[in-house]
Formats: sequence, structure tokens, C-alpha cells
Amino acid sequence: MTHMTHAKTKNSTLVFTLISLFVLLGLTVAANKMEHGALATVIALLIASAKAVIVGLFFMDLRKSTSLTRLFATAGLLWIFIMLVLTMCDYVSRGM
Amino acid sequence: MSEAEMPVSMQFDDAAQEHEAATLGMWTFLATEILFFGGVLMAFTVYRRLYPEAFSQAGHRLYPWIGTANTGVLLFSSFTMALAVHEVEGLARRNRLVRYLILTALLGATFIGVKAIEYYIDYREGLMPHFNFHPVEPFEHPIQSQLFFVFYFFLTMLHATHMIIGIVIMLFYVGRTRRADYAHDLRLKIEMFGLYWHFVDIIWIFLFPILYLIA
Repeated sequence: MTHMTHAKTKNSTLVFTLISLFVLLGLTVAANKMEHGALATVIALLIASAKAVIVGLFFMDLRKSTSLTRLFATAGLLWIFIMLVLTMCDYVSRGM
Repeated sequence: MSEAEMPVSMQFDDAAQEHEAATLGMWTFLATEILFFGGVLMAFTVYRRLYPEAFSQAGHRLYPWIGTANTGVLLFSSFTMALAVHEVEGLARRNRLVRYLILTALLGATFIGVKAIEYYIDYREGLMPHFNFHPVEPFEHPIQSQLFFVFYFFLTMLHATHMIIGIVIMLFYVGRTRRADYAHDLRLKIEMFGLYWHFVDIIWIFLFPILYLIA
């Protein structure tokens, strides 16, 4: 048998991924109970981003993907980021 | 059958190249999906900034524990989907693949079921714009708070639609896998479908805090 199309992720890695996702979910809920206001928003979004990165790297195999695939995966995020930042710059600076 | 003997679609040199092309195509589609959801999230962010008080009051009428439970269900379904993709290589383990796919579909259906119950509760509490917007406990800014619920229902329904489409495709693949139809192209398709399922999971990972927690 020649090489596989790509190396398979181990079952134990998948289990570990799931556990870390649930830990982060617990953190989200705990942080939300303790903290309110602007900081809570930042914390909640940071934890969500961490979860998304874990799903992307381990479940969606970006960890073992080629650079080109990773570039495609981040392209959409980059455009959304540009749209959010530019639009919010406009709204924040309108002095309403 | 080893990977080397696997038939490859005629435009490709080998299985690795075909796999790379399929992966790139799928990620391109997912990038358009990010922009699709992103537009609505952008509008939500703008209005949340314009009416912070009204949006905050409206958000507090949702039940974070239902959202938390559903997040757990969805994260677990991503895990079973990853296990299914893990089984995709070997013909001998077809039954395990079918089992994981069915389990993932069931978890997806559980999510939709919980969401439906939640919608019913929202309806009963008079929080559904257009159909029944007579909140039991009135809002200080009813029009702006109603706008929050327009976003809430639109975003979650858009997400639920993606899940329902995912469940239908999954059951279709279960059928094909169980028949002797388990060819090379189906294995590749199931793997690419896995990317879609995980992506829908990621969308929810963001919708959950944005709608339930930080409002």
C-alpha cells in the first residue's frame, strides 16, 4: 500500500479535542456568571474563537492541511474582519 | 483495496491531488458561507451599538441554559462526525461508519428538537416578532427590543436550516454507504461533508455567546 492521501487523526486526539471543547464551554458559562459588562463580551468572544480554532485544527484537519488550504480557510475570516473593523470605525466616529 | 488501486477521477493524477482539490473547493464554499452569516452579524453589531439597552433587555429573556445544552449537543455531534470521517478509509469498517453517521444525524435532530421547543417557549412568552409580540413583561423600548428578536430568529433559523440540510445529506450518505455503493468518490464526499458539518458547529459556537450571553 502506498501512502494514504493524508495521515489520519488518532481517535485519542479526537477525544482530547472534545474534552477541551467542553472545558471551554464550561469556562464560557462560568465567566458569564462572574463577569458582566464589556469585559464579559471580550471574554465570551475570545473563548468562542478558541473553540473555533480547536474545531478547525483538529476536527477539520487544518493542522495537517497544505498551506494553500489554510490560506483559503482564513480568507473568509479576513474579509469579515475588514468589514467589521471599517464599518464599526464609521459608526464609532459618528459621534451619535 | 489500497489507496493506490483506488480509481481517481480522470482529471487528477492521483488520490492526493484529488483530495487537495476537493478540500480547496469545500473551503471556498465555506468562505462564502462565512460572508453570508457575516453580513447579518455585521448588521446585528451595528444595531446592538445603536440600542445597547434595548438589546440587553431583550437578550435577557432568552434561556442561556437551553443554549448551553444545545451547544454541548452540537459539539458532541462534531466529535461523532470526526469519528465517522476517521472510519472512512477502510472498507471493512463500513458498519462503524454508518453507526457514527446515524449518531451524528440523531444529535443534529436533537439540536433541532430543542430549538423547536425553545421557539415554542418564546412564542408563548410573546417574544416572536410578527406572529406574537406581546411580551409578558413589557419592554422599555418595545420596537428596538423587537429588532433584537428579529435578529435572533433570523440567525438561529438560518443556522437551523443549514443543520436540516446537513441531516438530509447525512441520511442520504448513510443509504449509499449501506448499499454496495461505497466507492472512492463517496468516501471523499463524506469527508468533505464533515467539513460542512464542523463549519455549522463553528457558526453556533459564535451565535451562542453573541445572542444568549453578551446581550
